[in-house]
Amino acid sequence: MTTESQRGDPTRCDRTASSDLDTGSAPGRSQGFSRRRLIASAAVAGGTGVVGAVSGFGLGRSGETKAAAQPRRDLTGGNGSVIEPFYGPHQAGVETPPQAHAHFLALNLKSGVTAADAVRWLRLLTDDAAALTQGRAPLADSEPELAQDPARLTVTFGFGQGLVALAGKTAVPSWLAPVEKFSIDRLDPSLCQGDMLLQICGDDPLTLAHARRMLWKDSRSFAEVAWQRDGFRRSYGSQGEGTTQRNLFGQLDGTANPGPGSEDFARIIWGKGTGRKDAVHSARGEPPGDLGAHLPEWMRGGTTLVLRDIDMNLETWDEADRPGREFAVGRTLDTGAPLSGKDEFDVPDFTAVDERGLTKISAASHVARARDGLRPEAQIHRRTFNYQSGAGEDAGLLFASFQADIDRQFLPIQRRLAEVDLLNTWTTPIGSTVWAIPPGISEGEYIGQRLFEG
Amino acid sequence: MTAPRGGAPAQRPSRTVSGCTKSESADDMRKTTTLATTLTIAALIGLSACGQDKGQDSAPEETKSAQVSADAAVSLDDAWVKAGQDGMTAVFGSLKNNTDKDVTVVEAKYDNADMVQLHETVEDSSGGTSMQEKKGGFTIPAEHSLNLEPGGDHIMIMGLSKPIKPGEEISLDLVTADRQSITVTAVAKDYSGAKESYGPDEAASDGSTTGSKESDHDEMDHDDMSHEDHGDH
Repeated sequence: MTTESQRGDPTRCDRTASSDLDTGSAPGRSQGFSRRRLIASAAVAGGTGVVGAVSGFGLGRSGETKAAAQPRRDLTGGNGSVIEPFYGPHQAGVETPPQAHAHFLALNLKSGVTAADAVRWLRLLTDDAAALTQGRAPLADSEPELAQDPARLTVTFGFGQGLVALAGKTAVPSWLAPVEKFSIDRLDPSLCQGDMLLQICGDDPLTLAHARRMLWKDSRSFAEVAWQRDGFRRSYGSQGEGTTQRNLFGQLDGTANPGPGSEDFARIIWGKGTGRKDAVHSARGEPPGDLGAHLPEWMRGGTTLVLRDIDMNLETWDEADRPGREFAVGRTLDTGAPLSGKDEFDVPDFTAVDERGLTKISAASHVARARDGLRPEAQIHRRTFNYQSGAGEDAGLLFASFQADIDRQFLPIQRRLAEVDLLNTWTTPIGSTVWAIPPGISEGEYIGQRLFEG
Repeated sequence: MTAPRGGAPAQRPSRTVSGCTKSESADDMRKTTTLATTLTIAALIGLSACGQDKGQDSAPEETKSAQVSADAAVSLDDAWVKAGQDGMTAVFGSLKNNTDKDVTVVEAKYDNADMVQLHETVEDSSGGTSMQEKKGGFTIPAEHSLNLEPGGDHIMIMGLSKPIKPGEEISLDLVTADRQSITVTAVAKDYSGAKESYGPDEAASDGSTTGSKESDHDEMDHDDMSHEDHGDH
């Protein structure tokens, strides 16, 4: 799965015209309600120095005067002190708007580690995360200055089978196991293991490096590194909040995500409706309000994570020309609009035909395979990060898929994509892990306390 | 937060499997950095874990300190101890004077060690630093704090008779010049520093905090426990 979409009204697509228009900035569409536009407006109203960000949407090639849009650097260092809350009903780093950087650190328990050891470990890591995310140095931090600018640091804990089993074999849910093998997989076993996942995200890579080091120092008595992957998105400040990121193929990535704080997010990820009366659902329809009902008691308020490491072959992608690329995805590359529509958030119309009578969106395209005919429950929250090292020979996507129920949400989509998806020509899953994301905690508790103490 | 927390400190039954009886009581005191001791530990166990010399603990029995931390003359905030298997280790934190008069901590006691000393770090003749006992103890000005930190003042524990595991909480007793005894807790951290060598005239024979002790963190002593393969997802 790499890109996918929803939202908005089906409209006709004139690809030539739309490619010249920045999303939401075409004269006839300036009153549209695309999410990014609303967020950009809100940011202006908030007076948070987003001149540069706004210019990216509003002007583009429209030829307005430069002065109005003169980008300005933020010289205040204001983002360094921005914090994401650590305590709460849910762990941070899931619904949190994605930060610019992510480190995924998977750890294997050392042999002989007991439940009591694990509790001491989790207490240490919880204390570390509680301090680091709030810009405070944890105990015994030998570089405390590096903790001072959290820049929206979050630490999200994922439990693997081995860690949960320490609390008793019966504590391990059936889904906390490798997902089924797909024909497209070329999995590297070393990337498919781990008893604990630390997803460390933030807008400042130095802060992240320090946090990871600190968490590792308090882990090395209990665990060994299984694997570690780093990923990135747009830098903080490059684009307005809520702008869909692009992957290394240049595609918009995450268009279909439920918005943070929405009813859909609560149902699809946290597995429980909020009970609000005025809930608005996406064009995908109303997801069930009980997707998390199967989760064990200790996970209520938590969710599940399927983390897929997807290699993207930039060399062969280079060989594909733009029409072929767009045909494969079912979307335009510039705005991300479905080939049946004009705007990124237009709902794909899989029945729309062109003048030759062919469907505008190929039935084998990624967007068609990922959503056409699937029920409203088959939705996920993708929180993806790109990676690239060397001169492009090692490139891909750390595809973090959060959903309340892997069987009902992730697998139906993944099975269809594995079966047929033109995008598979260039993408290859090389790593795959499944994690239980425990709920958030209150001060004085530790992550996973309900697992180990009932 | 939806976790059941019924007001009282959460039960932590799993702590009992840690095999450390001391950590039980330490754990109960997690919330309050200091708590009163009801009896003089030294008297109870008939072994002075304090001072430089076991045979000389002739001090009168300490008075009970007050029951809540705010009333204790001193508290040790953000306290931590370097985890270790044996040999020496040290306790750090912010030693806070909660009174309006100067307070001097003259000794510290820890059950599971041969000896505890109050140390300072000084430059030695070789241009490096070394640790030595601080004569007269730690004096903390009224309403001030004294930072105990690696490379500075610290509470030195020598001759551990029992490993201090990472994440474990230990409790130790601080004794003031007016013989008030205050129990404080410290959480054990895997820490590679704090290994400056002893001054030459001290008991330099114990080299466990010097040299390449890079495997501190490999020494959890539960190799006897079975553990199934957990790398299978």
